[in-house]
Amino acid sequence: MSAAGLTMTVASVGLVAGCDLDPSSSSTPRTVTTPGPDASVVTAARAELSGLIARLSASTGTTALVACHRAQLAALGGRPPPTTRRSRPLSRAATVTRERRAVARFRHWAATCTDGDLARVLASVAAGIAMQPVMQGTS
Amino acid sequence: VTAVQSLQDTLAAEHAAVYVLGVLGGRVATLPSPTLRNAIGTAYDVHLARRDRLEAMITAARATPVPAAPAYALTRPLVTAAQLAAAALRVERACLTAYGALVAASTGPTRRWAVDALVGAAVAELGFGGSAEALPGMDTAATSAR
Repeated sequence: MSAAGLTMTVASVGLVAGCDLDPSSSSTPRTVTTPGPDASVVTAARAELSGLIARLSASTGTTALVACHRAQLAALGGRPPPTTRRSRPLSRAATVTRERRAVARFRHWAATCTDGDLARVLASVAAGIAMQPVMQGTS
Repeated sequence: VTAVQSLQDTLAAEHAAVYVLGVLGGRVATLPSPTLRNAIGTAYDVHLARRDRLEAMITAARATPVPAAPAYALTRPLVTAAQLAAAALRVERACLTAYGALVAASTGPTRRWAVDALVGAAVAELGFGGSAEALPGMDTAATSAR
């Protein structure tokens, strides 16, 4: 699936605010007021990845894992969190624990969300995390 | 694509996987590569179980499971451990793509099972020399092992 396809997937669940491109029809920005049934799932999924990025960015040896989560967050239409120095670095054991928890959450969201294309993205994120060296004990 | 059609597509991928992994299992038995032998043996058992599960799900949906082809084309040569691992990796990738499509097309217990299979196939790739990806299984065009 292309990046455009992924964006369409996320847009279809109603989280991407629509912009009125016809200047003659209104003068105020339009916002989405009726989010789709999966809006809360997308919000939670983005928050999960943003939280991981923030914590991992403060740790050493996690560059590849952070890049992985950034790509996954982008696929869900999210923006990476601002870099903060206040995040405490994670130990390797804590990293594995949090990544495992993320895999479980993404599996659950994939299995229970309404939109099939979104489910595929969420399942792919779970699989992508499960593949990472830290999860295989090879990093 | 309906859920039943996606189940059929996934079953076709698993038929090919079982065939190819069976051949690879025979070839690897002659090589001094116990790790690869175990990986191929485990993969064969996993794909056999998934094939049977898919046939059961399709039958439960009152459809006739697609049969396996008499034979499937194999990449050549298949002599060295690296060549066998590469062939096994292609099998896992084809199934990974099929399960991605099944996740999108299904709901309920079938989707939950497909999600588990997708994650399993992604991790299995690593045992055959695959690299970790951020978003495995998002390909829209399945690469058939047939």
